[in-house]
Amino acid sequence: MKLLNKDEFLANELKFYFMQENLKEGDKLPSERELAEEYGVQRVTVRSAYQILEEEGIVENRTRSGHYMGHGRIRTDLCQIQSFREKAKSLGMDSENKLLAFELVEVDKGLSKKIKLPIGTVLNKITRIRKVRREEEMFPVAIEYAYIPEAMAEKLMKYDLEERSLFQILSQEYGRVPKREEQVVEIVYADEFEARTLQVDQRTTLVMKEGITYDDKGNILQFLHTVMKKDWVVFEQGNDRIRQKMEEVAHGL
Amino acid sequence: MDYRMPLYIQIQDIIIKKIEERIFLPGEMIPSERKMAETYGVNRMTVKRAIEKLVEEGYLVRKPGSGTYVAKWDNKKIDYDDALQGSNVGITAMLKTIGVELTNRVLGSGEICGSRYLNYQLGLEKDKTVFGLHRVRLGDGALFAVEYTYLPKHYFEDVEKMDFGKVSLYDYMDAKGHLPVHFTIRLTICDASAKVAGHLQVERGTTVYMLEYQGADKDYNIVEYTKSYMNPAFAEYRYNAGDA
Repeated sequence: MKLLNKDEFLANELKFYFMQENLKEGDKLPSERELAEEYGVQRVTVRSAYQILEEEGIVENRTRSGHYMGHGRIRTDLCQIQSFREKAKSLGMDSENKLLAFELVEVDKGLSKKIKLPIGTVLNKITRIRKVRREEEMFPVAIEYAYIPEAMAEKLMKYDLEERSLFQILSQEYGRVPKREEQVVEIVYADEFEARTLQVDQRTTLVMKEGITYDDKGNILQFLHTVMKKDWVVFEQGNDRIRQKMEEVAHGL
Repeated sequence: MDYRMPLYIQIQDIIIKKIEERIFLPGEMIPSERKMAETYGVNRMTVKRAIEKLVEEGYLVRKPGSGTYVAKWDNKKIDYDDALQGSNVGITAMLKTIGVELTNRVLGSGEICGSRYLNYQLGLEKDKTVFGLHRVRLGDGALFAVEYTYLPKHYFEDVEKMDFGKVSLYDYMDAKGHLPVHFTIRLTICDASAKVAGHLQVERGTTVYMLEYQGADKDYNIVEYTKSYMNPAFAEYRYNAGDA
């Protein structure tokens, strides 16, 4: 038996082709017929390969129009703390940050376990929607719930939480520099509010990222709970020397 | 070793040496008593005695009706987890039920030629051959992940002979001097294709983790490209980030 079926083999080769041609979001991809001829396979094999790429969120299938290159993903570096804005920027996208709510809340039993602070601790709770520009409109990709102990940032409300990143405000205005983050990534279902805000239906799975940010003295600066559209996120750790090895052979392939 | 020592002790020493030099890997079946008796021109009872001694000492394990195997010192070790964590990579896949032993089942393996994509991932020139190993990983009988691993064949000439249902891949790669110690990692969340869903025994379209990683050895040769699909019911990811 062959280790890779023809459609799996072809799906891989198409990924290499997209990369080599440096295709961008919205670029039209070769038709099933063209690829079938080029690779000497059945059209049904090409269709199946395209379906694999759709399921991986790389390719978009537009009814009666063919296949197009899908959108990019907002990259979270597994080693380095970055604000959402920096991440979107690295993707070459405009982003927008919409403040939905600002409340003062007290830590309850459930939150206490996660944020590692005693119940009754007063927190700023900030709910924001992250949007990126797609064509002419802003498209919601994530909801962030940030909890910041009031003791770390008094009168936080007076700063512009839409224009400036929280980390920027914390370092510049309060002298508290984010130093370390512990994060966990899980798959969750959208609740009613999240489904409405992100414009998805309630059976949609979302990526949940949750964790604590500490400053250099070990103070808890922030507990952040984020839900994101799964086809918009990637968690990565790169390695320049491995990347270089790949680039060295790319041209000869 | 003195040639005047009793033969069964000399046989013991041969086996221990082969285990230490990683010619026999943990989990690997050692040659049969009959075969060893033939190889060294000794009586089968002599070999038997040596093996019994090594079983007592914990070097070897007998499996009735199957053969004698090199003991695994730590059965609970998840090599995957170990490798990623030990090398300071900021991410670990956790089994939600702690203490579950992961076992492997090999789905298939073999050479792949002419895949530009796989050669690229492994930094291999066009004419080099890739060896693929597809495995299912089980924890307490539950399907945890399906993993497609690709290696550069020229570093692992005898890879076809290994039974990766029993021997750990990283033990084998280590024995060949090409243990991955530097990694790149890419985690996305996607829908399970028909094939992946079949292996994980979930419905097609179920949301799964897709973890891709490359491993390079100490000299920065890329020695592994793995694509692993994980059942979200059993896995979560943790990582720690620092400031720039």
